[in-house]
Amino acid sequence: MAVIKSEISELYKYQDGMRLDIPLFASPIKAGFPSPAEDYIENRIDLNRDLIKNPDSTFYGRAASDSMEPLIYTGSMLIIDRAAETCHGDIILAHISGEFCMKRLSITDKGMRLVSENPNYQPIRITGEMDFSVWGKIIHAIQSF
Amino acid sequence: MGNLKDTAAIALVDCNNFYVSSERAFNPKLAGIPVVVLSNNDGCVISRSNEAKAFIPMGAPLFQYEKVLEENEAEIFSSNYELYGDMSDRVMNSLQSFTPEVEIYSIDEAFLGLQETQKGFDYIGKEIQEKIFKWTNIPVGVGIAETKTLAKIANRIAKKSDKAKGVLDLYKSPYQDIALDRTAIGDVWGIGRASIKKLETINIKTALQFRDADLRWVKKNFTVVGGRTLLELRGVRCLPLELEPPPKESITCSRSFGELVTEYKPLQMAMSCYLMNAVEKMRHHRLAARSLTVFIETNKFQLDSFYANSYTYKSAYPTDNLFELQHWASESIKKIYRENFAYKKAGVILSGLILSESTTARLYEQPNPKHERLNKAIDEINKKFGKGTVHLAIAHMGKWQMKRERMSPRYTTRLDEIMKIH
Repeated sequence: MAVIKSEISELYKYQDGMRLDIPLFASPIKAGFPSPAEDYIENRIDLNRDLIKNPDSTFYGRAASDSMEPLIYTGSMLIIDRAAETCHGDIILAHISGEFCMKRLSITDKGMRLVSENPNYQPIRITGEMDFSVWGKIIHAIQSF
Repeated sequence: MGNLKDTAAIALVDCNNFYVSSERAFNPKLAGIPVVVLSNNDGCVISRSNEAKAFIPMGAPLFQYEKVLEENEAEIFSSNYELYGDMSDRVMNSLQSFTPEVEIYSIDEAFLGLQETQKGFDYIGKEIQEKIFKWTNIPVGVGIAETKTLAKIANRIAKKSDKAKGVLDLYKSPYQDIALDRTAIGDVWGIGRASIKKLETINIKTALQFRDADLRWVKKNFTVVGGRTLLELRGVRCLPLELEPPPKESITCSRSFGELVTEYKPLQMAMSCYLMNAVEKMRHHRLAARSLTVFIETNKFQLDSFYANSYTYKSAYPTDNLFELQHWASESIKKIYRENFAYKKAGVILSGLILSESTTARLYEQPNPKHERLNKAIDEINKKFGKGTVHLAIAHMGKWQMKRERMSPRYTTRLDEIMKIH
């Protein structure tokens, strides 16, 4: 079933949870100038609110291989939305024959393939007899230093 | 009580083998094989995949069936209530996108009030099933009919019939008679064991036969509860949706237990958890309560051993102090707890709510400033590290030695246990 975006934002009120408050400035800050900063604070960035559209369909994972480097580094935290529709070019969490993997979904006239960013990994061609499904769409990867 | 004026139909949405499905949601290797989940302390089997149902009965003690499970290469899990609780929240929240009228009946069941639309209820049922699976990876069955009792029957058949594929709309359906004819009287919601025996002696064996029995006779022999069930089978709504009251007037936290609770201690522990939840909510809204009600009840439909009671502790002053409220709750449970009953449901209600910083509240001195600092510290810690990080010792009593040798990662509530992806 197609999930309509506007429907979701209406249905889910923001829930107070872990919060990261960073002031968002409407204009660049000039160094050395006593900026009346407070006048410019419009809204605070809240990663929970801004990155996660639908908390009830959002799950987290951790990248445990280098197959998607240099796009997603090992150890990055993955934010996965099951409600998001997936199409050609999306980064997805798939499961093939009982294993979870992160790959770029490629759908062309040659068929469906799962492609790794790391050239050391061969693309996987999806055939009818394979035990394959898309678990969710990886919507963000967070790398910590 | 919900306003049911506009509600045409009631849907019962029920998660299939919920604990097993929650495990499967994060572990594709479990698809198609026998999987079981164990009760607290790894005692008995409390959830089975369809594959496991073939060789292991519900409630089977692990030590007796360990060999059978091994022979069938079953996967065995300790209960991971943190995971199941979160998955349940996700399912219940998702259901609210279909209707605001959602009664959470248990961890894996909810009644929904549905409006009539052009799409038809069967279509809505399929939409619910599809969306819940898409969003949460949990398969659900949906039964739709005029009343809760009929919706239960529709749901039951939906799960068993290959044709229904998990969704059955019996609302004003010509198939209602067939469905009721195929439903054994013992499978009707609200008919207890004692009643089944009594009914069978007079040859009432199916839901259909019961529905068509004489109402006066049923009321006389099975009291008003039996009469209510009969009317519900006839499509007359006697059991309304029980929706939570608006949070401003009172705050309630209650649940039906997965397993019946007979002893005092686990009951007190459960109550303490509910109180923690309710107080957290109350403090979040900067409210203080002047009275606290605790209630307990056994299975509503087992008349021969039914017991329900509540006690309301009324205080001279409003408080948002967890320690004090905990004390009130403990005193109240003692007053209503009776031995030799199997309790099905318990809860707490905080009422007489006023803003904790209002003048009325300020008239009363905080009895113990140390408590207030401690309460604030608990709020802070729970806010920072997640709900329930800090409990009163009582809320966790007994769990410290719980055996959970085969527990899966808490994928959705602990950052260090999230799924590993290759």
